[in-house]
Amino acid sequence: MTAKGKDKTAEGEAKVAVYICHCGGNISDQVDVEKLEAMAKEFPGVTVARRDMFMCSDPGQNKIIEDLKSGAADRVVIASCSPSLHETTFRNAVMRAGVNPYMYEHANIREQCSWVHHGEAATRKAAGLVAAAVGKARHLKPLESIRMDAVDHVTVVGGGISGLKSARDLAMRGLKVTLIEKTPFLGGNVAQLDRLFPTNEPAAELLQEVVDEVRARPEIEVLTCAELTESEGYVGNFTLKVTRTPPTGEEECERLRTVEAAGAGEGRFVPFVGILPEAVPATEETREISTGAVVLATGFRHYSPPKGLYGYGEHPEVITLPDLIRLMAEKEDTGGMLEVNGRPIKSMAMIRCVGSRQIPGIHEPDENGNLNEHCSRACCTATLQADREIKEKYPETVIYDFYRDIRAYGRGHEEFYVGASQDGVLFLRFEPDGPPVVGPASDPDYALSVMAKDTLLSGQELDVPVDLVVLSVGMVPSDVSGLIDKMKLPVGADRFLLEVHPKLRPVELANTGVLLAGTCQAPMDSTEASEGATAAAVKAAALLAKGHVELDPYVATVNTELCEGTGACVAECPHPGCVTLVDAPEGKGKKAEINPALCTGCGMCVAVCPNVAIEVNGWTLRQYEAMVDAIVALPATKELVEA
Amino acid sequence: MPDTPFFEVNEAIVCSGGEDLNACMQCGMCAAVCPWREVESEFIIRKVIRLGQLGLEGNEFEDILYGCTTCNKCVVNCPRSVDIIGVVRAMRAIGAEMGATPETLRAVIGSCDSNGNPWGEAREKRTDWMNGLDVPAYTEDTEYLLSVCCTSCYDARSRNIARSLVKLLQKAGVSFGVIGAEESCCGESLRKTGDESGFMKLAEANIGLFNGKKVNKIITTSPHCYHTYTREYPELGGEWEVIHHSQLLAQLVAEGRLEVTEGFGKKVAYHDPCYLGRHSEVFDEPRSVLEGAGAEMVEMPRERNFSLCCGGGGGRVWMETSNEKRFSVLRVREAAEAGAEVLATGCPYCITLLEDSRKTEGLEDQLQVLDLSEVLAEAVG
Repeated sequence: MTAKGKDKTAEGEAKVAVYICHCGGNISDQVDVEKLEAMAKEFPGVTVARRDMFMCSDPGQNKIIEDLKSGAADRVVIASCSPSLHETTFRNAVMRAGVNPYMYEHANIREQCSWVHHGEAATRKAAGLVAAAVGKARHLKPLESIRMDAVDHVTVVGGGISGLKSARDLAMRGLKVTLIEKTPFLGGNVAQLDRLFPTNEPAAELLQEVVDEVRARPEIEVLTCAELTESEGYVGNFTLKVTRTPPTGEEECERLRTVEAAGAGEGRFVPFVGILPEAVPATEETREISTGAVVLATGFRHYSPPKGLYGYGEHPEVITLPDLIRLMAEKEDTGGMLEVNGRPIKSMAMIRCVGSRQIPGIHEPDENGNLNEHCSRACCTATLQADREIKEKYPETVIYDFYRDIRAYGRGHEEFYVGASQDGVLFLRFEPDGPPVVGPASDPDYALSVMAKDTLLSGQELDVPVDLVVLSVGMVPSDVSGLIDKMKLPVGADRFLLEVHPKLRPVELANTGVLLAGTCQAPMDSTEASEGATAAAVKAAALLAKGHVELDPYVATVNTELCEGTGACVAECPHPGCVTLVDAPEGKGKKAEINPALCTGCGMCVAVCPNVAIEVNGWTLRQYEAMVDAIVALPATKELVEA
Repeated sequence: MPDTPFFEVNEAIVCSGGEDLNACMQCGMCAAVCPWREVESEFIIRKVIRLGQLGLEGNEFEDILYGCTTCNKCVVNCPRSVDIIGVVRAMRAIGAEMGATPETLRAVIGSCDSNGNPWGEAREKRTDWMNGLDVPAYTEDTEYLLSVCCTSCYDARSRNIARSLVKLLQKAGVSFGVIGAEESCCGESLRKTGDESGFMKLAEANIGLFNGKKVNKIITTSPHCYHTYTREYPELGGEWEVIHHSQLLAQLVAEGRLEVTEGFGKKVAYHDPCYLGRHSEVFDEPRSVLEGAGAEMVEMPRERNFSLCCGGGGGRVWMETSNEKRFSVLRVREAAEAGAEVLATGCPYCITLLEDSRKTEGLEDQLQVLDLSEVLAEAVG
């Protein structure tokens, strides 16, 4: 520290403190940090330059706070790791010193420097990065985060177990909720199940309980036969358009007739249909909803096997696991052998990983070129559960269960695996490139033959005679391409919606205020989907609880003195409604106006403005110029390193 | 031609006592810890179970079906605690019905049936080991019945175990007696060969005999008898307080009822017999007997639950095993490498096999094989 530096600083000018982190050798093994510190002291505007083994440690942070409090500096540059790691840490330290948290600039001399360059080159680049950061820091201005009022209402899209649970939890938190469901029914895929593992609780009871509560809560409005058709706005202030359409689809009408035939009426669960919460709309209607956050709970659909896969669509004795679950649930007899379509099932085959864990080069992509490389997670235990139920009800039916791996990972799931084994289910392992082949029976007493290689007996070939083949189909995301387009939602390589970070922000989308609940995000069982739903509800409530939302101040601002209302910015802005032309007072023509809540700070408007009338806060043109100037002012490489 | 699984075989194994057959998930832990991995062998217990699950051929060969020594190492390591020995026993029982029992075992089974012992010896010679000793007969006033293993009744080397034990019991003033010729083999190994009816016959005879004599407490000289009396007879009506001689001797030493005068100054390695250690979880008492005798203990690399089977269990003590496939050969080498002068143990089968391998390995001058009662008897003087 540095009497010399202080002398250089003219009164009223910025006083920059530079802190150089060793990162325990991560940086200092490559960057000559002592030389860097000495150089930093010479950069214009620098009043303090220091080093520390770990700037993120308490002693490191205290240095910052002391220098700011003592008046030795009024802004800081921290040269350390990526800002994605500790930007918040350092911003908070600046704030604790009583200084505006935006009086802080960062130089990444680890990921962008010591980890990718060595020796002199590393030191040289670090000097450039620090010089530029100092240059910019001298022109920093205090900024305030943007505060917008928030609507205390959440829209939940999807009426399956995740959507229902999210809606219920939000209402319990005191928020108003609109639950939108595309079909006439609540319950989603869980309504297509009989019993839920690991407890074997009836799906009917679970859904009835949750739907009863959702319908009873005055905070919740349920809109069935409804789709989100338009979405505008930002966190705290979305405007959605929802269109309700009388059902016309064959499957929906069939299900409506089933409900009528069952005489169940509104609000009562009907197996393999769900719960009709209210009469379907008679005419199409569209309404506007003002909402603060959106929870997406759009769910999954079962993989539909193409004709010919394991004999599916060719032999009537080849069915899917959901088919089997329904078939079993609708049977009343027990004992002896399972009977399907009048045929006693002496033995049957389960085949797992159908439409899941597909491998490029081995499995055929679908007609859209997609492969399902993901594990669908729920099917392993669901198949074991079916194994056990068959063995319990029809002990004389022999089950051959063909698997690649058994992933009974959840609490209480392994017990299904052990139980099925003890019940006498025979498990046969196959390799992805040597799957079982379903074909005509070689034994006339049976319907089909499954030809397989037992990898547990060095590939011994087996001819397994069966009367039924059940394909354990995986999960694929529901088709939400319309929503993805309208709301610009991020999608993963697996085509499920993609969270920001699996641990730090596991139910948040990059679109602030839009949250993920359940299987729209990834394959999950109903336990995990319910967990996700609760998490999404908590996150939505946290966003809206204060009555306002705070947004980063890095948004465009218009200098109305310079703006001539050319509209170039309006044409270029990628965010609808973000920049508009408004009438200036006193008849001074049109001027651009920014809605900061919609602005992402992308800078497109800045680039096209002919009058340099728009700037992005925190990244002004003056600041860029200062960075360039600082880099240009550095001595040539050789001199620098030898100095 | 591909094979077709024959599920009826699976069901037959389950019905014959192999209830855990299908609980096996084929992870292979059993085969990895099996002593047969130590030598060249076709016997892979995982594969044996797999063939049984699918009802496929391949287990009918003598070296496969009768390969298992029932050492229990697979069972204690199985992540699903599958009763693998029960499955093997069930498969052998089915094999026996189909006439697959090996010739040597048929002779053993026949001898058990006619003589009450597996060694082809006359019943009345059962008491020959006592010659020259004054061994009391068991009466209702006697505290312990001393139940001597058939091997130690008939085998010349093994008789010394019973004789050493009798001397120690008398020196300590223990109230004990023998029944003698009326006793039969406990049937442990017979049952493991799959001869369930032969086992039941022996068990019923012994239980009737012991209960008739109002027996309360039993000392066994073999871990195999100990295991049978404690684990298998109770459900057939034989419930007594059973103690292996190592446990009783440990008590007597601890109570000061056996005074060690000489001290056993040699380096001793203790070999845990499978049926005393892994099966019955008696690990410490034999060691304390040896320590009490003043032995300098050396441990072999594999001890307690990881002990290496001698190769004599599951009926294999009566079967021919070529020298390069004998686990007992590996075991005496291990003892010699550990620097032991004495390889001590507590099972007549182990003694028989280890003695034999000591000779074939040329370790006669270097290594003694002794029962722990023999070590203690020498120390007590």
